[in-house]
Amino acid sequence: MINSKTSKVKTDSLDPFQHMADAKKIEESCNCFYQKFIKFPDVGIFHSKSEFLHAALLESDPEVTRFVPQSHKFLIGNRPYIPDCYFVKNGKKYIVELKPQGKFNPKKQIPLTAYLKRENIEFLVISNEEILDREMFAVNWLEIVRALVTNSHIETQNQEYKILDSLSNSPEQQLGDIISQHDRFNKMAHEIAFYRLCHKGEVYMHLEDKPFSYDTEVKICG
Amino acid sequence: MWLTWVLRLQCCPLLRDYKNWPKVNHKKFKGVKRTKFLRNQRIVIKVLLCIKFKDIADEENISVPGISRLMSRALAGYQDEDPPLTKALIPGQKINNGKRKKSLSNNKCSGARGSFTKILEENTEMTDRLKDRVKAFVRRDPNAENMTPKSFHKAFLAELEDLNWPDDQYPLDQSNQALESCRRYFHKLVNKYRMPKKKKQRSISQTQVIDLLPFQKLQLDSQLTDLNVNATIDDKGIIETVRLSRLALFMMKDVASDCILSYFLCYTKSPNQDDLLNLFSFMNEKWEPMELKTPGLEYQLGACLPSALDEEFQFRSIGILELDNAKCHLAKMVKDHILIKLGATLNYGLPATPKSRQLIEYAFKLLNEITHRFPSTTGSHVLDPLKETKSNAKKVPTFSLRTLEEVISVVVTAENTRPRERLGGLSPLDYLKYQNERHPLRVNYEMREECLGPFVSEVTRKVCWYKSDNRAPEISFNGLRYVGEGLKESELENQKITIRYDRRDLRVVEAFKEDGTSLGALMAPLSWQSHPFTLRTKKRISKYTREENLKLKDPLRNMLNIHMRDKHLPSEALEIVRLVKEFNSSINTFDHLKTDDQNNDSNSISTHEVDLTQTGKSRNPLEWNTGLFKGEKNEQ
Repeated sequence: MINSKTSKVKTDSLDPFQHMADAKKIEESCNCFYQKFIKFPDVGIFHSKSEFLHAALLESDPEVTRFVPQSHKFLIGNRPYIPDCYFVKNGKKYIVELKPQGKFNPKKQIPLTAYLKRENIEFLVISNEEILDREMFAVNWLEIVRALVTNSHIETQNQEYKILDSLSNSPEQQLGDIISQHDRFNKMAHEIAFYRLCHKGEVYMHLEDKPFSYDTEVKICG
Repeated sequence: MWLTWVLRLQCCPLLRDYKNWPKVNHKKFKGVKRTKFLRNQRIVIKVLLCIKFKDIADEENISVPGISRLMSRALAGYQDEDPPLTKALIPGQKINNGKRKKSLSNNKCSGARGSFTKILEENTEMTDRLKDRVKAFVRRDPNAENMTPKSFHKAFLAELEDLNWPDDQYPLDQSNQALESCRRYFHKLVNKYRMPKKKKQRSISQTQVIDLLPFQKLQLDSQLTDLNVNATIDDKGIIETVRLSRLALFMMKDVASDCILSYFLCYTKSPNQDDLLNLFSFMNEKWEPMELKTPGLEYQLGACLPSALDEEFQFRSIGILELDNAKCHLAKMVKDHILIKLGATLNYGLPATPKSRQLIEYAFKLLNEITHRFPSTTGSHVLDPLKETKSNAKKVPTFSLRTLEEVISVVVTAENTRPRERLGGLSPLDYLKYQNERHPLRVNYEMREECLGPFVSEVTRKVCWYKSDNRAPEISFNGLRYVGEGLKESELENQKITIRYDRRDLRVVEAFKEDGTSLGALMAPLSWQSHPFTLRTKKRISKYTREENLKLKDPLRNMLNIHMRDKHLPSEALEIVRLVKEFNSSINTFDHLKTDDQNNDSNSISTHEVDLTQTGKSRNPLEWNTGLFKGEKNEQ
């Protein structure tokens, strides 16, 4: 039974890489977003706002080690299909399709799920609404990602130890205690170190419902 | 199910109270019609109050069956359809919309009202075939018949014949055989199919509106200014004021604060990526007010661009940059600068949807409101009554380029100080300061440390040494031979080296070995050393010389003189302005690498600058000279 379903699905390679040629065709006709990320070091091309925010949510998850937008090219029957994203979480591989209301054509989904299961990859369909509900969180994380992307040259190991020390001594702190409001140029390494700790999942910052400010609560994870 | 008026009142008890019936403005009826309507209204009210029919008939001078007919007209009907109610009380009002309850007439035994519609409704297959014929005609299908009301009537009768329609039944019992009904139905169908189809709308997910911080979302666009301006050119001592083509203006606006962050007036009608990079470059430079020379023009108190507020605002990182898919926006250089150097998100948006970037479009609208006040305006469109008259268009406009620059500077900065309702009565600049105190708005620290601007790029080139020609080792770059002391190492022959260049001044480039060791400055040929020249100018000169099969001794000055020949053409005049601005610019990214000898070489050619304001030859106080030089004809 599985064989009859999976035989419909073909692909040249299961190695994930961004399918730029196909992405470029779509970029002229849809609301495209370009952004450089940390877990996907090239410039990612996202074909909708939901895909873009989803990538930000993947960046925010310390268990996700890598993601690739427009990662594979499948042939289902005689129709080409490029899923929206591939990511690795806790060593397990996932391929994701984002759709309004999470409705995806079962003629594609059933054979693809069966085919990918054989390759130890889980196929997920996520609704756009689910992503857009966490827009504020994703937008806050995008700010952190951009800060890390542009300031990748700054060495921050010492500052990271200092911040962790400080947070272990007084667990209830605000962002204003860590980022100097009036002397940001001289304390830039401290600021970047803090964002790196957030990205590694060692420090928690409450980002769910409003833009982060100097009053945002900060604490050490675990 | 058909409901009589009594059953209707039982089903809908609310209708027993006349107050629940819809209101009709009877004052618009005149004469008998109004009298009859009011009488009908009185009858219905009395019936609903359960007054005996006989009493009502006596009072209103009407028969008892007449009351019953009136009530049926108002309330009777099918269960699933709304009753006509008050509408039925209007004398002579059609309430059934041509629906016929009676059977079709035989030998004209009854009227023909609603008969045509009844035939169409009862014979759906025939109706569909007729509709298809009309649809094919409207869509101009290759096999379609060019139909007229008469041919449609014939088609209708032919269909009836196929159905073995009785000869004594409507429409065959009528003298014109329903020709008028066919004509009206035909035109109705034609109009229906000619109506443009409703466009399929894209499904856009409804998202919650989230609070944005300043610099998280910016909008960028360019537009041609709606104003024709002049510039004064000194051509070999002859001072002349010429008309310029319209100039393009780039502007960038913050969505959260409504603040204009940067603008750049391009001395060209079609801006390219260098103009766009200039916009970003100015964002990182401290804004300084212009020295205003136009009488009556002055900056508002506190008006400025955010980069003048403090150093942090000069190096603010940006979030999402929304722009359209103009060619210069799609340039690789622009993408690399925004995505890699600025770390920002690029969002080109859906094609042909400028309203999604309405804030920046609105900023241009505000500026246009100012420029439309001058007689040399082009207006918003070709038929705009404000457009410069034909007789004025033959003359040079009185509004100068300098004044345009000053007006833009004053208007744009004043816009940043205008209080906004949506910002709680704060001006955009005050809102930026307010948010900066509460939120750690991102700073691009790398940009502050980076001494090389967005115009500096790197390419790899091979070192060539043509010993037989007795030439020094050289590299070829953009069609020019670059030489320098650093290349005079024999082991570099045929080796690849990296050169770093500034797109705004190609006179000098810096060379590096593959291991990163600097080889110092490489110089363009002496004939190209007279003035700074951009990559755009180099490409234009190369294209011109290739097409005209020319060899220019002093390409930069010769090119200027070629444009000077047609300086009365607005596009040529604007190009002259651009070249003069470019030649007089003081960009010195790699000047520190030059040796003393090289410096002397480059200074040996003067720029021939003349300042008109000093000579006192300016025609009016608003006038400004383009930067100015003496053109030398026929030098090539």
